[in-house]
Amino acid sequence: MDRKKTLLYINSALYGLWAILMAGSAIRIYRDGAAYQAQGHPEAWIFTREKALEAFGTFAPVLALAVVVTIICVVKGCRDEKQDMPVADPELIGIYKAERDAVRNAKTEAAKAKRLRAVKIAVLAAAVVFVIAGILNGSMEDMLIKAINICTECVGLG
Amino acid sequence: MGNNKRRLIQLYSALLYNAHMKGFIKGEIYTGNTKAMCVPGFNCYSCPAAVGACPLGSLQNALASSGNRAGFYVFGIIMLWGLMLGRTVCGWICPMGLIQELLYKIPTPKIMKSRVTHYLSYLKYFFLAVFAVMMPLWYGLKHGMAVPGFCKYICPAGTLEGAVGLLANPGNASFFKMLGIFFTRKFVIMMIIGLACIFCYRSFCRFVCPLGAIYGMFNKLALVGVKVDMDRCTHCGTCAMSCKMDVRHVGDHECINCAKCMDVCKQDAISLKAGKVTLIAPAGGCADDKPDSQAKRARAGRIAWGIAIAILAFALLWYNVLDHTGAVADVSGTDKIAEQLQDGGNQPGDELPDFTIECMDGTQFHLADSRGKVVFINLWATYCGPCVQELPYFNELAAAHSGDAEILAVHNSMSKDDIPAYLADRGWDKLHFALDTGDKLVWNIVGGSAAMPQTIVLDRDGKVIYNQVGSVTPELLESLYAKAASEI
Repeated sequence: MDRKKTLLYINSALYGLWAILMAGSAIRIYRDGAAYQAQGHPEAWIFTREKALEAFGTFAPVLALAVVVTIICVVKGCRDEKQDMPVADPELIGIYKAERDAVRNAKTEAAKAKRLRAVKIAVLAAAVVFVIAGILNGSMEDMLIKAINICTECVGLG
Repeated sequence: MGNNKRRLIQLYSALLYNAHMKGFIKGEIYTGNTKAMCVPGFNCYSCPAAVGACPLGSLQNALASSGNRAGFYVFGIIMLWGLMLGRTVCGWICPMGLIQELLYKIPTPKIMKSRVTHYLSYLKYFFLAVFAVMMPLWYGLKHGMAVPGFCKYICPAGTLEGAVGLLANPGNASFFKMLGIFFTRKFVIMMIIGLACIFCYRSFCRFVCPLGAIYGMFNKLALVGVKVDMDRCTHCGTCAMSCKMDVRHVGDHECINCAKCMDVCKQDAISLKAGKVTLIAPAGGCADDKPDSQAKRARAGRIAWGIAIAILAFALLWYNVLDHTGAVADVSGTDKIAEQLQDGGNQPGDELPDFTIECMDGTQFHLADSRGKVVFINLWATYCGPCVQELPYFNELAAAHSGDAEILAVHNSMSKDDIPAYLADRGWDKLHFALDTGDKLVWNIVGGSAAMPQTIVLDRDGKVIYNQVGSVTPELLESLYAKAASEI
């Protein structure tokens, strides 16, 4: 394996490791905290700012190392060349060919455009009617109320 | 072509959606009227900087409220965005798209599109149907609870912008109290999605995003989009083969109209258009170009950028300096309230100032009358799922300690719902229900915030022993009762 490819693999391993460690530490904090709560301390906090900062701080060197490797990769021009190449999967190429044939054999552009225009006008009319109906039936105000209040469970706070 | 131009527009829209920058510093969300407008892209409205509503969150909440009234407004707005832009939103003005593309820039071995990714791209329709449509509808209609399934169980934007955005502010240290299984699960999901985006181009967008699934349905109808000049096209298929998305042909439901295919089309058959107006032309120009078309486009582009920059500058100035009316909700809640109250306080150890509020059954709740009893005050709203979920616990507590515990459940003053009708058949008859007055009397006294639910517990002397935002459990309530009852 050449050196550039090795760097790419090291980089991906570091980011993968960091993500696993962070996710793992969140699970560990939760498990320990929930166990403590279950032991008759319902008021105890599962997560605290200190615990979160400690977990982040512990694994920050892994992230820092990953960032350093990323910078080295960028400076040295290491990148997976196949990301710039057209797809080579024969099955996919077969799908694309079938799709192209379908496009070529489709109805004439004029007939298609006429049908599309009618659908567009219908959808536009429906959208405008919906917006006006929404303003009148109070669903706009509903939306505002929900947007300016945080539902803690919805954003994952709890 | 302008991949750099696209990146600039992505950055621009992310900034414009999140122009309330001082929200990060203050740890508060924006509560002004512009939040009555859905932004086109995926952007959590609980992000402290967000100035508009997230279309997907709004859609789920509208579906959850279907029992009260149809969410026509949200449906109409999403249809309008879809009709105007289709998946151009994903490619050009979605902050989540920008984040995913930046993550993909990290140099690692990449997973390229294949037949498997083609199949996986249909997963987002599953997420749309189950989490964004069926779950809110089911819980809303069957249980009268707002459960925006996608926000609650999956959305990485909500975790990153909403939860982490709020938690990052030291003023919101009390928010950590709420964190439990939901946060853990969503944090792990966010890490998985983030990691996937490093290796696989726009993984969230391609396989998970319900909003992309919705806009994909509009792609063929959209005014703005990548168009193919069939007179020039030789059907060589290079465009589809070079595209990193799971497109079968340019402009289909998977195409995000990023226009990168213009660079590989040797026939100059592809351009980005808004109706008949060419926004970005291929290097060799369009077939219908006049001699001065290129120059006109360049001039129009410069004018558009000038206007756009002026709008952004005004938005930043407005939301951060001039507009004080919107930024009233203090989500840092219990950490900053003490100084607001002169006559007593609402922090543990403080005596809560007296108040009287009219209950929905016509009686008056006078706080001073409940001296000698344990008092629970719960701030809730019909549209807040966790609030509704925990009210039965309060009712059970009141029943278990009848005569010794008074429980006042105060509904947020902002509501379009018929709350007495909502409560009619719930059986929560042990609780005193009140609607906070327009001046948010109780809300202000107890230190209510933009985050719900919130529970305040007073001992027999009327002193606060607990004041926290977040859900409670029956065990916690029982423990708080025992603590309050024993403090004389």
